[in-house]
Amino acid sequence: MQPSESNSDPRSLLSDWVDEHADALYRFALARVGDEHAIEDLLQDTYLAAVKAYPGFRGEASVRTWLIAILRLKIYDYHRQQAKSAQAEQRLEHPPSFQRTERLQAWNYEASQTVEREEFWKVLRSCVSKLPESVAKAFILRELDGFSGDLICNTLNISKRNLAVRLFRARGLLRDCLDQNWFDGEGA
Amino acid sequence: MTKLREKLRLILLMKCAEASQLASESLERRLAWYETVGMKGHQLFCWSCRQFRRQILFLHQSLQRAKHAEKEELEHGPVLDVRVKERLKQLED
Repeated sequence: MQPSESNSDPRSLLSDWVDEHADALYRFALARVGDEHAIEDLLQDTYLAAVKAYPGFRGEASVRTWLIAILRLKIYDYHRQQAKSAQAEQRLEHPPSFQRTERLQAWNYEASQTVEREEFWKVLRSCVSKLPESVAKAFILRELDGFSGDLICNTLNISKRNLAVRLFRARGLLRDCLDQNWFDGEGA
Repeated sequence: MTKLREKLRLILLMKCAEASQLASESLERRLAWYETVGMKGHQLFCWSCRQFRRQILFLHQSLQRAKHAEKEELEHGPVLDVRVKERLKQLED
């Protein structure tokens, strides 16, 4: 499957990509990055990366989705550099620990779906940002960009088996993080 | 033969680590019948694995919703400065 603009020269596509998608990319970045200069840099990096990666792009996702995915990973790296969130990561470095130690508490799902919704997303987003890099990218591409397994394996150059392990680890760590930061004290 | 033995082991003696890994993989692929039977059977007797599965499903569904909201947020809002757009079009390595 080739995308509709299956032009052989990605350079000539750049202008179209800017016209069609730059506003959406900008809004996406604006909601996640405060600094306008940083946003312009991120958009530049995104378009450059897209031009380079285009020969390998086989139209498995729409161009918009694909550009957003690249931008999302750039933003992820940006926050990473900004925060150097070393302590946060250490806390999360351990594999999911539920098997051996304590009984998991049940979650009170109602609480997260109603009034406190905004707060919940904030907590969830911060938990995702604390995932160790090795598993975060796979998880982000899978759950937030909705990429297929094959596409992620190609993008990150990992095996199917490895992807499954990374996703499992990411889900376990996020579960732990939500358990501590959101459901703690609310559960049964 | 060993294959059959492995299947039987998964059905009858699945470990927590395997049951939770399979709970995650069930979001990625269709599990084999003996994997499903083993996982469900294990969860029947294991409170924590039951919670784990429910909780990662909840996580998955929450993120699906977030993804949806995100798509809409891209359609309307501020626009990028034309000068920045021009600079983007002139990009060189």
